[in-house]
Amino acid sequence: MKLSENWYVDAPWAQLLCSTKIPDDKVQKFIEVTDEVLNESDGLGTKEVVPSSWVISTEKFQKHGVLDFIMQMIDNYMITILSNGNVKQHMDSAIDGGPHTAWHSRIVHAWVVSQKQNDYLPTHAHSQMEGEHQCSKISAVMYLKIPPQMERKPNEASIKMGKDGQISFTGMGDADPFQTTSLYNIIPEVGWLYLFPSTLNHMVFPFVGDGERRGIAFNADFMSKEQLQKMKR
Amino acid sequence: MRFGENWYVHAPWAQLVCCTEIPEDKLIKFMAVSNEVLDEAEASLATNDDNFSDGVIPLPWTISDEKFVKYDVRTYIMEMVTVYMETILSNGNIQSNLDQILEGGPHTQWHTRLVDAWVVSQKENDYIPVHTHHNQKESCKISGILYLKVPEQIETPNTDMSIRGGKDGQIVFTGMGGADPFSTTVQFNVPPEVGWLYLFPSTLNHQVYPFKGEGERRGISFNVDVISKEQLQLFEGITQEVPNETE
Repeated sequence: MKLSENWYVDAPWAQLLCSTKIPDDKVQKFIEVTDEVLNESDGLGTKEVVPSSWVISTEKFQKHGVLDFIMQMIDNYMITILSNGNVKQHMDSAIDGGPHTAWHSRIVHAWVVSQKQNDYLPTHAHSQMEGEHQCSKISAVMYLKIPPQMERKPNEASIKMGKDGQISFTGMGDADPFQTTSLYNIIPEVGWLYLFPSTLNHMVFPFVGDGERRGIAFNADFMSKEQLQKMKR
Repeated sequence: MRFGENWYVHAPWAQLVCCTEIPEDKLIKFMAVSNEVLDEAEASLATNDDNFSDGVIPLPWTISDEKFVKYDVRTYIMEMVTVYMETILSNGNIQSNLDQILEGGPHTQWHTRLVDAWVVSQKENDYIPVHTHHNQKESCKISGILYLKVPEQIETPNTDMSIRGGKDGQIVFTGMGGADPFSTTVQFNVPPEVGWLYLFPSTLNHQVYPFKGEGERRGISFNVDVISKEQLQLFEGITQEVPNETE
């Protein structure tokens, strides 16, 4: 992966977490999508990781003019992992039908994440969801509303100083005691999108006080042109 | 880590391998360093059998700090180590993790020191078994390898001559991972190319496969230790006498 002029970084053994700032006009449209979904639902959500009453259809993204943006970011993520060391060659030999020359992507699930005071998301990976959920290779979350007390410095109201409402990714690792860590906590900020492999464990800590922590999460699957051709045969 | 306009990539759980192409003028100087070291070793009549008697580092082929200074490449090495350090500090929460786990934090500045350096010279059938650099005599955190000579049959694999098609003479890094079956792999084979420098954590396992035929696969390896300004300050003024063993 090219980091800058004449400087390349590779870690093909690593689950990569990519992030990008969503343009303001798109953030507004994503908020409209979530408002619509929450208004249409019974407002209760569920205790599942994918709350069935808050599922977002691909048509809804299309209707609000944000589907192309999501697909573009999924493509960018794919380009990034394919440039990570020998991951491309690995896929060519590990996945039937290689060499793979083009990748098709599709959104498998998308849902609103809406958390109020004391709510938390237990540790999970999107590749291991219960029920009849289909397989996915990459997952994502974007942030649309953040209670102000999460953005401020922790105060007496905090449950665990500085960690309330954060998303915590736990990657395989810690192989090097100096330059690696197995925990990566991120303070949610409105308008940021994070993309990561569906196998990457993560959780969200609770918070106290007023306000809503709202976002959209989605899973996407990939299939190469060559895999598709094989199936058609 | 910023990978372009509005695109960031983080993997703080990963051992990062960074690489860069060495400028031509520096490459000639590194070659001169290795020539001098090998000539001096030959003059001292050191036998090849003795080379690895003390582990992975071939003792007669060690390179002194002074030699790098003499050939004006020491600053280049330290600059690249600094860029590597900046890269890992921009990887997710590594900076805040170091501030927390290493005494004396927050750490505002990092000092680097070349711990060991040596010539790697391989001929037909020679190989380097799997090893890491961190368990050697002196503490080190970052390791590097640069390539100076690569036999033609490694650059363009010749199937008639190859022991294992396409892999001969390659360095293989084996990182902890494989956590995601689609987007990760546990082995990273790098075909050596003259003029490329690789930097990686000293804890990262790696090995080099043998090759057949004429030619020399030559490079320079080194280890670097890193300590923060604040850690150094903690040591200042602390002296303790070593007890006399006879007492």
